[in-house]
Amino acid sequence: MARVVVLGAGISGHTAALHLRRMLDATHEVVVVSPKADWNWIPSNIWVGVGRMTASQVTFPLAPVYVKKGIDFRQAKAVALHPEGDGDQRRSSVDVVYTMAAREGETERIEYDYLINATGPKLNFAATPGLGPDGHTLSVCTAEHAELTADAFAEVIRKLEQGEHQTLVIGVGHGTCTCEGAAFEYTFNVEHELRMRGLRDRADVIYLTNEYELGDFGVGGMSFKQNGFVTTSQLWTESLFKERGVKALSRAHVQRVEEGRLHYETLDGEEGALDFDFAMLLPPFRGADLLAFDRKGDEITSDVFAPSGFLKVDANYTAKPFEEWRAEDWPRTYLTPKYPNLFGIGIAFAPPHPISRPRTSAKGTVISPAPPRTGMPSGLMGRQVARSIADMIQKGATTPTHTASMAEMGAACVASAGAGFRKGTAAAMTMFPVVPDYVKFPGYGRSLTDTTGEIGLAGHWIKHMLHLMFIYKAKGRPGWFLVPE
Amino acid sequence: MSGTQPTPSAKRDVPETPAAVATPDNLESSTAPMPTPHTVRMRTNLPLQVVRFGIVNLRMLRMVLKSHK
Repeated sequence: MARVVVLGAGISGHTAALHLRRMLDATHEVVVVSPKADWNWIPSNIWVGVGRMTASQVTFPLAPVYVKKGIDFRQAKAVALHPEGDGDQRRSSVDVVYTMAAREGETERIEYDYLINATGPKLNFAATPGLGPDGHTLSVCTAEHAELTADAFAEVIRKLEQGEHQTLVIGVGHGTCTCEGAAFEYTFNVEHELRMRGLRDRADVIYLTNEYELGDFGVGGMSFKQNGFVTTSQLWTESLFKERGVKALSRAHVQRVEEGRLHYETLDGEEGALDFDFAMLLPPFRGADLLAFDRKGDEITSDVFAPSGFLKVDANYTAKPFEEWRAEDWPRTYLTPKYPNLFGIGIAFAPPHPISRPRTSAKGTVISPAPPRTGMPSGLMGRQVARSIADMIQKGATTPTHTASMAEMGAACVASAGAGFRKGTAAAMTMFPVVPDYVKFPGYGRSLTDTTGEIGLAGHWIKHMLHLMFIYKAKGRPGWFLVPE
Repeated sequence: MSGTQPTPSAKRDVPETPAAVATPDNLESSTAPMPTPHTVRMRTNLPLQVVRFGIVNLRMLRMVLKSHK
């Protein structure tokens, strides 16, 4: 009998757990450890943030789903790994602290035969003084944050309706952030809501980003064919900004935030300040800050995890300049180099380097996006690692049997630009592969056939359809595994 | 409310900083193309968008299947 422990119940971890339970026979255990009681379809938090949805429409309780599926759910936070065992105990284990009310603060050591670290991002608001809901800015990273943001947005609308001018700043709150796509989405949803209410001319909407050019999205931008030309996501995105009158402050790092004012630095070393009435700025991410110990009890955290807190896996972490980055640098199996039973997926694995060209300001500040690990790649990693572990347990495979490199898979991203069944629009984009491969696709790094983008109402319908589909899938409803990641 | 002029937000009592208080430029000078009014209308044209819904879904499905091999 084997025990597989999955840390984290987000898109990646929950997908892995469901597939493991489906593929493993009943003699094997699947345990999920997650500090939150609910699953969140994060892409729809954007709509919660403008008041179009409530938190209950984008979340559901995990416990009943896991009971139904025969998955052992521990509502707890993982704090330390013992991948080599501990003293006389040879079996690997993980230390957890319970977060559920009935057992809050209790600790437990859970032994495992295989462990998948899918802990996702730690929202590092602390990286920028004054950033975050406990500071002076808003967030849509969680459903709860998004509801607070919706309340603040409703207050902005009230003031606009009374004739006041409002300045809304939306974007990223640190030079190393990722998730520029989510910031873009929220920006244009806000703009759309103001325009639908006839209030647009009383508001300045400003997009603040660490991207060198609009349309970078942390993936170095894209090229696609349109009307007989190869165009860039930069021109495509700038076109939307011009059309909607959204201003942009790019190449920027937020240094600190005070009440109603943020201070920033740009790549050319200039410093400035920006006053706002409403600011939604995403935080940079860290790993979950797990510790790791060897069998003697000595700390080995820096061997197992990168300084960012993300888990080192089968990637090429050799430091090298941008011109020497290769598609093969990216992991394929997500197995750690030293421990044959420890995997890291989704946002939890340490990327070898960014995808966008790294840049540093004249003052030495890093101002360039971290690489995104969006829903589709994260879900696919979960499924493929689950398949590998199932083969290792039931077929005696000694190495992972399935791969999911971001340099060998594509992603579909639907960025809402305004909700509404008849008036909404979204930018529906595909890219293949996610990580550019300039050997397979000389010139552009990606397939021009499979890298596309278009804006329209159809995209909005697709985003809504994906909302319904993936919540259906995550609830483990009949046929859930037929919905592709 | 007709005839009402928007009032600027009240100046906040924040400390003076050496950095200039700035507002980012808009993108009017960008060389990016603007959509024509026809293009903007077609984005929410129901019959066309029903067709695009099908095409984009097929496109995404093709890319998903390619990634799942």
